[in-house]
Amino acid sequence: MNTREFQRKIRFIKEVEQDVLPSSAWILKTRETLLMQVGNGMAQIPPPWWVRTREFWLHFVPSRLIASIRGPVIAVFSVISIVAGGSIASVSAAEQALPGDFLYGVKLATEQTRLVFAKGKTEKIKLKTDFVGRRVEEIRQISASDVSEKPKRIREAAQILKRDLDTVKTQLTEVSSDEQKDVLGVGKVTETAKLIDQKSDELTASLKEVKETIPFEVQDSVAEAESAALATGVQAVQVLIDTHVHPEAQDIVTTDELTKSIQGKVDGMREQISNAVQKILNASSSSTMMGSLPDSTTGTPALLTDPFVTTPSSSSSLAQVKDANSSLDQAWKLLEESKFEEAGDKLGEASKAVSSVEKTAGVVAMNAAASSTAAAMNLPTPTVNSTASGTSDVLDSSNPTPTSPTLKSKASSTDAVEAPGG
Amino acid sequence: MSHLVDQYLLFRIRIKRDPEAFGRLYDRYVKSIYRFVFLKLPSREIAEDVTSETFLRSWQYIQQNQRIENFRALLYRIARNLVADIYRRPDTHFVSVTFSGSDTSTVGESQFSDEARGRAVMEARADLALVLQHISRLKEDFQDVLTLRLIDGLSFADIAQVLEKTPGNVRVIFHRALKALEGFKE
Repeated sequence: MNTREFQRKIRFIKEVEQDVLPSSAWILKTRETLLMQVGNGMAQIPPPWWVRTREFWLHFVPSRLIASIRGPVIAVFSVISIVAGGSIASVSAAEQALPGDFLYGVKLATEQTRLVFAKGKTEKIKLKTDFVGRRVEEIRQISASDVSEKPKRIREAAQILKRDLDTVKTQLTEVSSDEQKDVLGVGKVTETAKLIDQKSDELTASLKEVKETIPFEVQDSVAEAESAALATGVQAVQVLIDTHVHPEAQDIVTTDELTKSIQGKVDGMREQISNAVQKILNASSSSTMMGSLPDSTTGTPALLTDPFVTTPSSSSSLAQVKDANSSLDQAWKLLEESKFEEAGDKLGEASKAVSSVEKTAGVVAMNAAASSTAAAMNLPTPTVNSTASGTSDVLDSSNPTPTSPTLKSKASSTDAVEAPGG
Repeated sequence: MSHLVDQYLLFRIRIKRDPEAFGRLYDRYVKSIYRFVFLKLPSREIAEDVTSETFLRSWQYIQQNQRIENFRALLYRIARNLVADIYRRPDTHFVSVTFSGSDTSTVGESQFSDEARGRAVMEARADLALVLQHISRLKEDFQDVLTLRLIDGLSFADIAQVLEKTPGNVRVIFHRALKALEGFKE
């Protein structure tokens, strides 16, 4: 059962469950029986005053209520005290802060405060999406400026961005299953999904530009953020597809809008594959292979299919590229046949495949760069290992000297914790 | 607000000794508890028994003067345990899951016609079994949170009460469980 089928079954179960009710006669009969037992078991003498006081406190001043308002109260108090302490400059300075700056924590805390006070889940997601845009701007600013420890700051910003994008994606999934009960709810969710779809395209384009300007060693973390933006956009499109097939919401998302969104995602992913392949070829050309641009119709570079020049690392990359392109071709075909739900499923598969291709391209490029550096300094060749799935073939087969030192890097964070209040 | 109403009714039971307050708690939650257990159990009669037993046990809990922060979550916890107990009994043999015309009844409007409703219930039960089988590969914590959140639609706060964890912990488990599900190979 794939993820989309799983979600469909869940939705169906919930629909049927909502329709189930016990019989009125049974409800009344059971109520009578229960109240008879309650009446028989209940003490008649009222409790003493101290018990009444204690019960009042326990019932109407619950500890969780205090715990739940403590966070926002402290956050608001912190912001007010910063402002009241003559630090309007501090707050606006915080607004300009970048990852690694002293006031960056205040900036994030201010954003959290705004999220806490946002009304409704869809409003929170929209606000979170705006904040995600800020993260991209921060990366751009760090890259363009002369700050110290640039690579470290960019990596931190990219990790926060990826985490926030994953949060938006998860929240969109939750809200789309929670709020699709009536046309109003469907409308709100759709508006949010359209915004995220559009924003994810903008983010992906911005991140692509930014990647060209940042140091090589942190391009992989920005590439991961780019994949997360793409996955979030695909999720938004899947929500739009669900709306389109909803019986009461055919006019909220038209066929044309949906077709355009899906086409945009397919084109975007093809471009990502093409860039990733070029990266692999460039990396390989520094060793034995000459690069060539991918075939525009299949996206698979002709040179990678030449059996005389394929290496174990490139054949693994080739398999991933083929998977990704195959999913995209199928999505395109299903779109042409107006089979939107299946096209959405294929887009999801393609997104995962493209993410794998990007990761592999990053690892191959880093290996090549490390090899060149080591060769220039006459050192043993280090290899970058990745814990991400699908890349171990590439690494093991490209490292002929088992005693070489290895640099371990985590290609993805699997233990990201959702930001509080988001 | 709903939480405050429950606390007020519990206060009336304990301090004012008002049995009708328990009746009002029953009225508030009988349908949702029935829905919660209905698809998990093979027949209407068993669902009715489990629902009434749930309320009876909640009354026993109230009588013990234990602190009840979230009455709704308490009911779900009791109902969930009762359903699990039924399946754990050694003498439980559900030879076949049959559907009878009286297996469901609705009041008011329904999006399904009578016949379609019957088929829908059977299909939903089968789907639920498939879904539970699909997630059975996950850790028990993950399974619990996923079913309570995705199928039963409980909030993280309620799930936390049902499973006796913190809401933050439940959120983290939920997101990890979703990621783990996405990683399943087909």
